[in-house]
Amino acid sequence: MSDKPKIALYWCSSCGGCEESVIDLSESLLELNTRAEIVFWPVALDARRKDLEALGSGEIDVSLINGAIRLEEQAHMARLLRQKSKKVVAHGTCAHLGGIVGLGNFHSAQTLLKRAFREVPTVKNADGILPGESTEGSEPAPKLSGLTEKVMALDQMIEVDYTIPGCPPPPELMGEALWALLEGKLPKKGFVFGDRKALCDTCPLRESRPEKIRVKEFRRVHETEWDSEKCFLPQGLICLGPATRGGCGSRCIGANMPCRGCFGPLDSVADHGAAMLSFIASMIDGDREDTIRRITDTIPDPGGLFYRYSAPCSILGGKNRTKP
Amino acid sequence: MNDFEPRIIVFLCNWCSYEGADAAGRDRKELPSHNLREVRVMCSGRVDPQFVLEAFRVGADGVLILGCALGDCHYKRGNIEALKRIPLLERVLEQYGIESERMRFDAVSAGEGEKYARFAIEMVETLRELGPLNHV
Amino acid sequence: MPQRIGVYICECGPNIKDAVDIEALLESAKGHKGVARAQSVGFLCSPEGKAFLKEDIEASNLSRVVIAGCSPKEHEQTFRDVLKTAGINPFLLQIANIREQCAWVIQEKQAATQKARELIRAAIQRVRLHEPLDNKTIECCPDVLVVGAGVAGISAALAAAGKNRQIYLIEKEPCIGGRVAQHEDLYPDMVCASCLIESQLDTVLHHDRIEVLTLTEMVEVKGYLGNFMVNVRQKARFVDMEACIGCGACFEACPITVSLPFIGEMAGRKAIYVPYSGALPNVAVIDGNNCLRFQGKSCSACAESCPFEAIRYEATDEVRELKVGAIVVATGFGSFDPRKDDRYGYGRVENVITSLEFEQLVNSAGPTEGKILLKNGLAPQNIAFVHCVGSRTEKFNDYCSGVCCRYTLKHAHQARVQLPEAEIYQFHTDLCLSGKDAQRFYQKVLKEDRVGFLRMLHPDSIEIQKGSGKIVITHTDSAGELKRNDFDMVVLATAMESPEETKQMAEILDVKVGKSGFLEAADAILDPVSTAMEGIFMAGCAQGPKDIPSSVAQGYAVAGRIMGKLQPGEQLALEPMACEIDSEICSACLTCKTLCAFKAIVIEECDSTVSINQALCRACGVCAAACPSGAVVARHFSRQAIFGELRGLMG
Repeated sequence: MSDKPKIALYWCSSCGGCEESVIDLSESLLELNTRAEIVFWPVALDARRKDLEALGSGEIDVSLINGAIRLEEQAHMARLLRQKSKKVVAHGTCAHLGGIVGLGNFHSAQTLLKRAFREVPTVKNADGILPGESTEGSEPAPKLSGLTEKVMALDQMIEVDYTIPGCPPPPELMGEALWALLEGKLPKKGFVFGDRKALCDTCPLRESRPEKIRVKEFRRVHETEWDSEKCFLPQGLICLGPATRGGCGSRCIGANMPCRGCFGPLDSVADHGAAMLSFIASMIDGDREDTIRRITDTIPDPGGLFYRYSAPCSILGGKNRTKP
Repeated sequence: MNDFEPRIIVFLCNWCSYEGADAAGRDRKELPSHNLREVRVMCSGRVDPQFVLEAFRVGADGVLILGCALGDCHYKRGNIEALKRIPLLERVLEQYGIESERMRFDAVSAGEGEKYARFAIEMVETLRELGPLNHV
Repeated sequence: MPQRIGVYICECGPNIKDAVDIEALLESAKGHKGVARAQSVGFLCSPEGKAFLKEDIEASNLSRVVIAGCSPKEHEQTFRDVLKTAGINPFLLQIANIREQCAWVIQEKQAATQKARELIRAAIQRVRLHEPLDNKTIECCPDVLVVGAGVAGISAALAAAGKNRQIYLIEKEPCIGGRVAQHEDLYPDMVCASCLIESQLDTVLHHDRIEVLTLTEMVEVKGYLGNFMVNVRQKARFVDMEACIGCGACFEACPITVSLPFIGEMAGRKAIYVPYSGALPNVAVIDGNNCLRFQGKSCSACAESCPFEAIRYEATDEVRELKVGAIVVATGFGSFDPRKDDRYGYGRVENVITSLEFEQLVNSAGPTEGKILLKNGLAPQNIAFVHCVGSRTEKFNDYCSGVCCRYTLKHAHQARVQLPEAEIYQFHTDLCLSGKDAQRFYQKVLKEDRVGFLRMLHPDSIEIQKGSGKIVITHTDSAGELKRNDFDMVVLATAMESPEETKQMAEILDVKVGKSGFLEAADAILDPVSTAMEGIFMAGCAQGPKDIPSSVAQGYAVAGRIMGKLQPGEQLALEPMACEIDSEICSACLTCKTLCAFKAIVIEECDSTVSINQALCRACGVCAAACPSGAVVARHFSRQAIFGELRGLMG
């Protein structure tokens, strides 16, 4: 029996990027292995659910769970890991806020299934079969997990102690968070790693932001050219930096792309999309309804833009009905 | 759903529309006040989109935001800042499956009790046609 | 310490008592967490009601109060005051409007009770989230800067100056008194303007609480009401103001004559000069643009001739910083330049002059010693006065300047007095004859002075061209017919316009200029002399065309406003609900700075946050709604408080 803290990592509805964020620790990954005992990590280790079930209550020191809750199985695993862990960390934007997966909340689960399995041009499904939970006529009979009614962020399912934001979290932040947790330097419950201020505070383009921003037309990156030495906003490109927690190192800005908001809202904000809506509206250069509508129409998909990462946690999109 | 009694949150600004609502009361206007729940703010520009979303979340079938007429805002331009948010908010609501007719932004000045009554009646009619908001 | 909330329902006589089930409301109020007391009262706003409230609050040891009754617009302040006397912060109060927005408009008792129940519940949930607020004050500077020493500025300065209030009166010209000091006879009684104003000018110049700075303009302004920091630049005069007595010896000696564009060499001055005879302060000034010495040539004629050694060639411009509490813009008016429209013939056709130039002609201290003369030195046999030059037309200024009809009548009268046999006509459309004396004066000019009035179809329907030896005026009359008349002299009554100085002032001060170019008032109807910037006022023609008594009245009006707002020794009350920025959260994204209508957002030195100037913030909360970080603390109307109210309403 080792003295090393036990950690578990699990992925729910996830693209694998958060797993990569751990791999991206590079040489430090070896250090992780020395400093902690990884008891459960499906993508990397050959552990089964029954191994997890066999652990004692609270035996795991820290569980990092990434991905959103989209399947009943994931809901079950989240509850199980909560029971077995002293601390649970929402790892990455999907666990934090629902992530890209959360955009599914703009539609019903049925609509999504129909679209994916019947309507998309690349599918050949003459009988219109939709995936179900069980199958017949074969032995053994595999089971698939059903979809939850709505996509959920992790803290809509279980109690979450800390959050590491980002899609995915940058390696520096992963390191900072992991070592703090493993060394027992525990922040206050509910703490979200990263900065306390919005991205503007550390943005490399900060100096070029004018005192007043007035936009006559919003444009998307594929529709226009812009001066990459200057702030996106006065040029009509929507950068969500003002509404988004900093601490990512402004990697997107550094790559000449405006911020998309993956670090989520600041602590005092209840709805990330609404915070974005407010400041973007304030930039509209118009005093009359017709002008304001015309300029607003240059944003083709406000819901998707504002809730790209946070739909389940928005005021309207995330009402949790299955929390234990 | 002709007997459906919608619940409407009304944001009123301290200087114009709140007075207009009071004027409707002083003049004993006929209006469906039992459907309305008024919230006072200093300026319609204070109405954060989060307020509107929360209003729908806690059970409102409709939301009215009433400020001063354009050009009359006690704080110069607060009502214009409020107006700027409305089209985006309408689109977001639609994408959430909430018909944008359930939210209305308009102006009522201090003496316009009649107008307040009219907006209230119109909103109740609209919401009766749309039915109760199916809260998720 | 747990909150103890008191809920008081005002019966308001039968108004509320008969419309809702008070007992049921008290019962449900008592059921809410934190409610220690629930009571109904007959008339809460009466002296007895208020006394009861105070005693009951103290006896029940309450920490917060909900009052359900009439609209907060009626009595919020009343009950806040009661809370204060009972030892509770006045902002720990929430009022549920169960009268105007409930009892008076819902007939069915059960429905009215249900709404009242929910309004009270919301008020309880909301008041839990209120914070105590202070009525803060700041030190204010009672001193005043008046920009422009014309009649409006002088009136303001004289009225406001006092033992504990210093006035700085700055004027861009070398002398004070503005336009009025250059006038002689004034409508309607032909009193002498410069005589009238001279004693005022003298008082101003010798007043120990008024510092007059001539040749001075405003450069930059920082700060806010009670706390302005103003940089002014005083241009070099090159003459010592203490030593010079205005004897004129230097004018004689100066070899350079500057010809002014008016009736040839009759109006002209030297490169060292006093602007006009009788100008105050009576001190010479050197015009550096025309003086030989300043063009690099050697000349010290004036210094050599001065018996008082008052010439100072080495003088330089000086910048001074003035600390004041209020600023008055009294920069006067400019005139429409008729050269903008060829139809008026001004600058092309000889003896076509403007009314201000006519004013100089009839001034006994003017270039012709008061005689109305043509360029050739002879008296005119016929004179035409043309109204609305540049006024009331889509082409230039669409407004009426309001004073020209009256002074043109005066000019016509003056012309008649001097030239009994001349033919005198007025070309006009409407006549603006407001005020107590105008109609009478018009009748006198029409009948006694035998002045002819020719009505034009439209202010634009007139042409002034050179004829052979005469000036030809062609106009369309009110019947639509073209008429032609010849005159020796034509006087154009030009529109009063907003001068460049006013527009520059507006830029520096960050105040708005209206469509007509004049300064825009905070409220055109109820606050015509204040701009939208607290502490910045306007008086006289800077605000819009007006006559002399109106300019004087506005000068006095701003003095009154200032004396009311900035009492020496007093503190300024700040808005208790002013918003504040949490600097731990603010990333200085500047969203708020774009939309604050009161310019209350300040970027801090460290640049990593903004802050809100508590003296300028009006607590509208627009910044709080727009802040993408949630960094604005919207006192009394926080997001949490509104959410609490919404949840309380809906249940």
